[in-house]
Amino acid sequence: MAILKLEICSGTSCHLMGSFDLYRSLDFLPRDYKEYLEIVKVPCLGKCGEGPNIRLGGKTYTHMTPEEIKLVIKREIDKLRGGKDGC
Amino acid sequence: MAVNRHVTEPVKLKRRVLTEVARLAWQGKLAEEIDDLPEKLLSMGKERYRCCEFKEKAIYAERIKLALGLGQKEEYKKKRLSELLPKALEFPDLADNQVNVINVACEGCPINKFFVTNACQNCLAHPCRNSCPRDAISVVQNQAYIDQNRCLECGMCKRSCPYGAIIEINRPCEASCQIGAIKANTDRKATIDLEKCVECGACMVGCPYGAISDKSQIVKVIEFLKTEKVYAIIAPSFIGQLGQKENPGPFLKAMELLGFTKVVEAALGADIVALEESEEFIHKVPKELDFMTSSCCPGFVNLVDKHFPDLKKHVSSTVSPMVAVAKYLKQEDREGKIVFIGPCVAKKTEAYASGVIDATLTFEELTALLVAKDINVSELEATQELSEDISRSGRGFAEAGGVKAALNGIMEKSELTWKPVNAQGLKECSQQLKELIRGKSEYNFLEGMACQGGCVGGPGAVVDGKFTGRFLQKLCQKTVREKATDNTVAQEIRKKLGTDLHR
Repeated sequence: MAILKLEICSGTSCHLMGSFDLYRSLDFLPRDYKEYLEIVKVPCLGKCGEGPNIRLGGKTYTHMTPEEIKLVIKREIDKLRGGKDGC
Repeated sequence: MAVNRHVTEPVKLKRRVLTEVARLAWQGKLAEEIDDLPEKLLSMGKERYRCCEFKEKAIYAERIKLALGLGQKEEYKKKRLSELLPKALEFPDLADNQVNVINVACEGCPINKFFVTNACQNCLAHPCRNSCPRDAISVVQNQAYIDQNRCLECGMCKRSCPYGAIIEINRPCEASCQIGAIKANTDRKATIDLEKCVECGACMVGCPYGAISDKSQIVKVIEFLKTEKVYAIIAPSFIGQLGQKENPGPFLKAMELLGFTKVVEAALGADIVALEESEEFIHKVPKELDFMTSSCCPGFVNLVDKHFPDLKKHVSSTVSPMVAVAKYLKQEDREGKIVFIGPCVAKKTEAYASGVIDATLTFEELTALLVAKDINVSELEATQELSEDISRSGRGFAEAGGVKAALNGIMEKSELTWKPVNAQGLKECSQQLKELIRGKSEYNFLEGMACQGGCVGGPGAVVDGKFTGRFLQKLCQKTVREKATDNTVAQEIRKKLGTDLHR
């Protein structure tokens, strides 16, 4: 089912800036969103110093917060769903 | 009631400052570039936090001073960072007063302590008005209203309201300090009462503006790593702090890459302490004392010293695990430098006073050191392993109840009455101490830990204590030796150190 790859950087720079919190925040994502996601931990996304960073469906987002990561995920998945339903 | 800790914006600010100061120190460019650092840090953050960039830069400058190890002193004000640097490199302020309020960063939270919420029904009885000793409450627009100029903050109205419509709000720093050591000054800025403060660091975590911070020794440690042979003593709560869950290998590899010659677990000292302290207990209780307390947590020892001075003789005279290991290392190599790395702020003062430890870092500061040297721990291939000598109970010292459990393992065979209890957080510690004074307590040994959850919940940790606790338990499951008595190396070191193991 998962069609959107979510890569969370767990490099030391992002770790210090709270990438662990990003993981934890995904626990609160509704299941119908979560099932679209394939979540992977990656060692670096090449933007150290702007972290914590994620890559969602190939696009990199910097300075993520637990609040923003959920917004980004919902927005991207809503786009996918919208396309599928033909709205 | 451990609170979930998050990497909030003020936490990020602090960590960014530590990282950038460390980067300049590694590169040997502190003198040339330190004056440009506030500007650089300003451009790194994504958003503006304060009223204007001038205030933000002023706050960054103060944070940089703390990162360099300078206290918040009057004589450092209005001086350029480069002007202060030669003085900073002599490290004049590291002995004590680790916790500092950054005055410019303190919002002086304008808090009226009692506040009527919309839950007020404007009832007929008006117990709030009747209970107020100063007639400070009137009814305005169908709701009770407190005249803050008259309010005594006695709380009678709050207690009398049948709807619970009146709430009490506290300044976060004051609410986080369980021993009343931080108060608002006349200008509403927070000030720490040094007579009362035990340096637990709870207010640093509590302040939502990040206006309270500790002095760092990162520059001192970097200088050591560049020129000297350096030993690291790591607190047992190290596990998972760099993001590798219960796998200790990458942590050890990273320490090697930073330039540490050898890494020793403080848990080795915990095994030594468990052996020594249990024997001390057998000697002293009940012959000399009716009860004894642990001595490994410096926050707790400070609590007894400053708030319960009559009980000082009840604190075990055994040194802390950190000091035990440091004394052993100094015996082995007089020239080498010793750095303690843990989650603790109070340890900075304890380590300095011990005379055998040359510098102290928190896990947060260690991680900044790694980032500044571009070491990415998650990319490391590591085969390093922890020492097999150390026991499960030694590693368990990092969690509340761990000291009690370690001593249990040794004392269970003793014929003496052994009734241990543990307390976590300064409030609980104070309560237990009060009961012991009154002679009302059924216990004769108290394990006191200043932080909620024990050391894993320390203010200098990177990872939330709840998770560190889980990683630690997994590590302990893999640990072969069960108790301190199974650690033969600890027994040998204990013999060698002899009376050196007492304060």
